Amino acid sequence: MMGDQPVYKKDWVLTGPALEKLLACLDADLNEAGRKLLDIRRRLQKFFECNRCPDPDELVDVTIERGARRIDEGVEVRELPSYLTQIARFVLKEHWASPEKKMEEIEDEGSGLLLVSPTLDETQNEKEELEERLECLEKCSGKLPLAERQRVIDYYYEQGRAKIDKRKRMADELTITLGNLRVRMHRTRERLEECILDCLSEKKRI
Amino acid sequence: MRTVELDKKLTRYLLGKLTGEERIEVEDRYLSDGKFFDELAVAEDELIDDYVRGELSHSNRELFERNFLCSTGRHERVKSARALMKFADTHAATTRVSWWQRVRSALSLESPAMRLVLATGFMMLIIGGPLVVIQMSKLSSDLQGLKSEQLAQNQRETELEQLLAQQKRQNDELNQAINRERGERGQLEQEVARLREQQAPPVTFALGFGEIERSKGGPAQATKLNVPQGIEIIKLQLELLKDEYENYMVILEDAQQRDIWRGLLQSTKAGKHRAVVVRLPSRLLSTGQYKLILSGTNNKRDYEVLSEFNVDVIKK
Repeated sequence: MMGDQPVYKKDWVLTGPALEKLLACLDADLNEAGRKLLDIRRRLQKFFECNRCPDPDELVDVTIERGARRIDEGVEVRELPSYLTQIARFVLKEHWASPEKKMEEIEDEGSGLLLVSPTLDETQNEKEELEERLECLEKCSGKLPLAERQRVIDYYYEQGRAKIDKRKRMADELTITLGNLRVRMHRTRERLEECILDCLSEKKRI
Repeated sequence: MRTVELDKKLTRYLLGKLTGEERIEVEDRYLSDGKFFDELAVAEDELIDDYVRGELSHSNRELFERNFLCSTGRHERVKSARALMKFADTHAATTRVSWWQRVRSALSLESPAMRLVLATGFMMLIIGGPLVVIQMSKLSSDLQGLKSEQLAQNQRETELEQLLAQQKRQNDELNQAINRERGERGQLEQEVARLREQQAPPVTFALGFGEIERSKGGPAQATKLNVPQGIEIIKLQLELLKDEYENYMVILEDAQQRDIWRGLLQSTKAGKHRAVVVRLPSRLLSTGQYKLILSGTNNKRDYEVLSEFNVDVIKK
């Protein structure tokens, strides 16, 4: 769209009162409003990620700050999530228009070649990294209740048709739908992934 | 309710295979509906697992690497998925040890059948061994040749990518210069149109605040513009909630999102509000859908998109 570099009103900073006004648009209860804002944040993060933004968190911050700025300036917002969605679409447009974005794309295309033929060193590094991650996963899965840990093993073990049948059986045993089982396993997986990242950064510190 | 069609659609969304309209539909849904967001998260898990297990088709694998693996967060998720699969495989094998032990005992040396199998195998090894060695050495030399060929191919591809990157960079710089010039030419056209207004009165439309300010009461849907015959200039009034920029860039896009006109303008007083008034030559427009994108700038280099105005032009 525009060939020039976008800028996000850097002279404006999110102040405590501006954040409070934003939260007030979500819920009268501050804790509930905070929970809702985190939920919106997660969805916006996914939105930017799904639109190939390498640093989605940065663009989520820009979106929320811009929404807070507008509210602070006196815009009456009835439905904050949809208002932030609209702002997010504009922020995305600005991101796509930036020349830096175009250069990233080119660099991405170049680095794609590395995925095809990794060198021996890279393969060795990947192997070591996988081992480290596995160690962390063992530790993290140990924190789960035994039945849940076994469910993780059963859920991710099989492949193809056997996997589908296995998951149906698991859902039947738990008397829940297959869809609910998938969501439940996703939540467990999210917890494990978070724990693995913490464990890896802990290892790096040591 | 989860369906196979929905799963497929979400996977296509994640791989970047949906059309513009379908994408917006999916995004609007998961941004406003928590359950749908969960469905998307599950579809993402399953896509990652299929990639790690090597169950994606060649083309989907390429799309996954090009479109899906765009952030460090997603790279991390793929690595964790690899660990998760290995973890599940290892532990599932351990829990199935009693079954494995049964098989192993059947294959033990104490079994007469097993002894016969081993003796036959030993004979075949003596006879076929040298043949296998020759074959292996040939295969190894073929593999070596293939490897050096692949290295040369990779080198050629890297060189081509670098050349392409350089050309794209030059192209971007050229595009920026052209866009700046187009904006300034649009500004001059405005001056000419304003002077022409006395001889050829324009038709004027007030478009309100545009889509970003919808909560202020601006139009959410496309505004119909009935353009009478013989009109040379169409005047469009884009209202500003706050006038905080020295200049405003207005871009006119057609239904295919092609940038067909742009102008760098200043705001002016229009009734109770400040507004940006655009004078477009009517020959630029035919009956159809258009979009005006309004951005603000204080240095003619950095822009902030402020609002969008959807219009349906009907030429009589």
